[in-house]
Amino acid sequence: MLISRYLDQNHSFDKFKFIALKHIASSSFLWRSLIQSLQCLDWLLIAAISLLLAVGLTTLSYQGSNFHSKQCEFLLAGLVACFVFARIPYLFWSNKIVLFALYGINLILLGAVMVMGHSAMGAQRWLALGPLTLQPSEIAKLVVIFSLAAWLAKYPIIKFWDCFKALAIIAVPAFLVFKQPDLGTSLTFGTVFLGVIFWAGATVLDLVVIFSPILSLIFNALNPALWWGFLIVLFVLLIFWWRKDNWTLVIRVILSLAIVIANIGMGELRPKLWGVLKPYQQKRLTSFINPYDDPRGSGYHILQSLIAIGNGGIFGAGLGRGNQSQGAFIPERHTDFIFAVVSEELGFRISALVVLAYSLLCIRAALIAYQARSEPFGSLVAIGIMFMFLFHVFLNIGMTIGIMPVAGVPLPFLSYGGTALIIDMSAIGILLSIHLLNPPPRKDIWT
Amino acid sequence: MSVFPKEDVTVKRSESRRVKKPRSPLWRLRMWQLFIFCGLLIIAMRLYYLQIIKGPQLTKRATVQRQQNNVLVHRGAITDRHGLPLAIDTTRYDVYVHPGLLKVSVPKAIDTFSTITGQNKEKIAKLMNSNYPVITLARHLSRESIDELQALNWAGIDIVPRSFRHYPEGTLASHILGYVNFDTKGQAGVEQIEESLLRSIGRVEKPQVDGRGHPILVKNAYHIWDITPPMGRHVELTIDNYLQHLAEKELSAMCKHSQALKGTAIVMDPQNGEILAWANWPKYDPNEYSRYPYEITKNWAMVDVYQPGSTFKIITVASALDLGVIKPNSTFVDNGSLRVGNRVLHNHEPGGHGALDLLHLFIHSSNVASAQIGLLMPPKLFHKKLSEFGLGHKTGVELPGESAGLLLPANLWKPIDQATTGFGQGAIAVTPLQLLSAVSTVANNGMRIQPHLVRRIYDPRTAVTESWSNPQKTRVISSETASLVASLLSESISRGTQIAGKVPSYRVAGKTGTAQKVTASGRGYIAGQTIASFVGFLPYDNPQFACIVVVDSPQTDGRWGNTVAGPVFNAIAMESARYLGIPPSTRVDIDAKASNAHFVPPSVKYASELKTKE
Repeated sequence: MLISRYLDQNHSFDKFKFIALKHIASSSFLWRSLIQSLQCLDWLLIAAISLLLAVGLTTLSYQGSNFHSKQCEFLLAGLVACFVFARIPYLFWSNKIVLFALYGINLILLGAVMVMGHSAMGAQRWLALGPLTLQPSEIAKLVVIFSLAAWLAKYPIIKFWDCFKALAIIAVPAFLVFKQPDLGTSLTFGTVFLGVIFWAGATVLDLVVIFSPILSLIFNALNPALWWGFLIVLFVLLIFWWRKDNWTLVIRVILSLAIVIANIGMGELRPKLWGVLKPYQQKRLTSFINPYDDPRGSGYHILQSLIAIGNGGIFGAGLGRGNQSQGAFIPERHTDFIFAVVSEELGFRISALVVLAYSLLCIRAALIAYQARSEPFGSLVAIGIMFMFLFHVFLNIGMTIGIMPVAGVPLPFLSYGGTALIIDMSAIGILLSIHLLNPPPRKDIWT
Repeated sequence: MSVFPKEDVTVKRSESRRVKKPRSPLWRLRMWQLFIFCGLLIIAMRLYYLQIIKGPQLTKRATVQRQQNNVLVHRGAITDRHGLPLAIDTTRYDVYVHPGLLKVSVPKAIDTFSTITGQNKEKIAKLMNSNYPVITLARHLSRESIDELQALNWAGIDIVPRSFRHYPEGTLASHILGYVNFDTKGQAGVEQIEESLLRSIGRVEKPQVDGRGHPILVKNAYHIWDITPPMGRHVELTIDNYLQHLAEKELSAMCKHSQALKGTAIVMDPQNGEILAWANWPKYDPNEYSRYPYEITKNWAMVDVYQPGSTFKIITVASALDLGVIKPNSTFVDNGSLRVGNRVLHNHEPGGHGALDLLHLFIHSSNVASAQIGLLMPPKLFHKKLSEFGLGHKTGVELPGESAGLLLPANLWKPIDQATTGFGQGAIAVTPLQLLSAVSTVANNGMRIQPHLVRRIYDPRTAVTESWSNPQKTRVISSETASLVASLLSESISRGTQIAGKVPSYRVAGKTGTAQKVTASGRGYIAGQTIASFVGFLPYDNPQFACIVVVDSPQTDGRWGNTVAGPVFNAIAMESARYLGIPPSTRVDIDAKASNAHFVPPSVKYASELKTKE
């Protein structure tokens, strides 16, 4: 039902069908149909994913035990998931019943993890389902993207307050994930939220306002003078440019004052908020600034990762010959710190290529979102997925190269981990589906 | 203004009111694209910085980090010239205890530890109850104690093998060898000066360990641990074990007998500058170096200077002859005193000797005649000659902390300095080693050879010599002058009445010295205290043995160089000549019967006395 409705609405698809029919008429049906179905795929996206998977699997095969064979099994499942998601018209996920069911099941799963999940390395993230273990926080990412997209497709951000309605959607799952504790994933929700609301009509200053409490925490921690400067700039910006069309100057001044005062309060509260964190969490957040402070304690992981990456040089030490990665210096070398291993064993050539592949992936996702702009749900889902990947890549690689705090986020397609890989492959499937059903406009001699 | 198309709004206005479709432009896409680009550009730049710019630095860091630091490396051995060990490394064990990991009760553990290590129970209890996570229970334990500890098979005990320096000959040659401190670092003597070679294990790479401390097996271009544990270079000294024993025995017998403050006896081969024996008194045991004060552990024979006194007349006469200011047949008038400026110089004993030739100058040890020779030489030339003899400069022997001696610059010399320097007092102060080196120059036909202690350095693994010592050689005086001085000295000893230097069947060339002792402030002399010395070589015409004996502040035997240093020299020379196989001189004109009494070495002569003292 959804598909037919969708097909009726979309005239570009008709155009496409028309061209396809012309081609089919002029040549061998089987051959042409094959070409057609292949042309519908986003080959750049697939190339980027293939490169990442190849690098990830090759590196994993040299990291001992049976990570490689297990990851291959996960990849098989992931490919199936990718195919299935690519073949399901994505509007299926915007169906109210499906969405409510997904959202509800997801909340139940997250709740179940809190109650009966099994814990590893200080966090309770996994749910045992017979022989398999499931990580509901990974599934939550997709569900949250669907829910946000469905809501915003129907109720785009017109006024500033609309942002908070959308925020309500992510609040509960984000809180549940945060309590696991899984700071990385809950921050992913936040990033996806910011990216999606902007795509759905929020202004730049809306984003600044929403993000300002965190900025003022950071500035306050760095330097009080800088913080005051930031507050003044924020105030001026808000008075003169914040939703000029919606509000009169008086309202703008009142609102800006309120926001600045809230920010001041946030800054003043910072020491207390900081005190809420446990000492090891505090160290994790700050040790990346100078890992040499405590080279045997909190800075150890970052320092070893930096040394490994530097040790790789241009050409790398060779697969399985990275002394830092094979020599048990790098912690979690098969999951969180796999990028350090790749950099050491394959060198700058491949690590730069990996970064390039990620940027290609993100840019393709953004372009898919743009070309699907006539269909808000698909467009928003694509942007949400793009932000999910971008944030993971930036946080994970940033952590290994020492420009981001240690947050424990896996690197998509490279890190060892079943649920994450299957979810990432599903996300790619959804992107392909959006691409398939919203093909780029063609310049055609017949039109 | 969102991404979604504007035309929808215009085309279906009625619908757009119901489903509010926002408007569109491209800049939102561009903004996100910029966002992606910037984020990933930062990552790429940082990667470039880490891997390419800082790459080599971090690679080095990685290598350093993987190297095992607490590797057991043994110092090379120090041996005498025949390979007899004087300092060797053995393995001892340090024991660390983690009290938290011990599975037995604390009192039981304290009991066991104190019986095994032989330490005080209270001390161990104090350590165990100190709340430290790790305590050092004992250091340098022997294999037997460690076997007992291991037999306990307790958790929480770390046994770490450490290299331990052992001096098998005890006090022998202790001032030359030096000692090694707790951190296995050489602190004095050859141990300090050859530290890097003794510890150098060559191009052997250190083993690598991973983050958990397990070894990584690496393919190396060079040989790795084919001797385990690895050992530094061996140092072979020129010291002869037998002669060293001899010199120490005789010197310490005389020093103990005469209640001297300190003494030294250095034996050297004048033809190649090798130091065959170097005895110092008082001596110390480097195995227990910490029990001795610095005054004893320092090698005073090259650190401290003294005024050489009459022994210096050899140098004065040789210089003057070489400079041509006196002739071999020159004569001097000695009236018992000489006025220089407003000061009057005297001989050792009151009274003059009348007209003296050079031979009688040596026989009577005339200060007045020597002062006259000193005054004959222009200060500049005399100073230059003394410098060429090595006075006022370090001899370059392979020991740390050598003193250069004191030699006033020539432009500061007054006539009185010229005169007193002539008989070895005043403007000159030397170390015993410097004086021996200068006299050896006369013995070696005027060719000065840098004295040295290290014969060669060799690889313990292959026994291949890596370097032979290569001493500097410089011509100081002509060989005619040198042989003339040597024959004068030899003649003076055989014609004189002194016992020093009278060695049966050998013609010794030498000179006694009895110098007044300078006060610590450097002004004036301590009444009654002398530094007795004898320096000489044998045989006079083809010297193969040179020796100096210096005894500081002897209290017996008239405190003369002749009676205190002489017997020590005689005893060492007599036995060394036999041991070294030096052919006896052809002319033996010493009345063997008359001088027999002098040939009893001090160690035998004072044996009963030394026994009762101990």
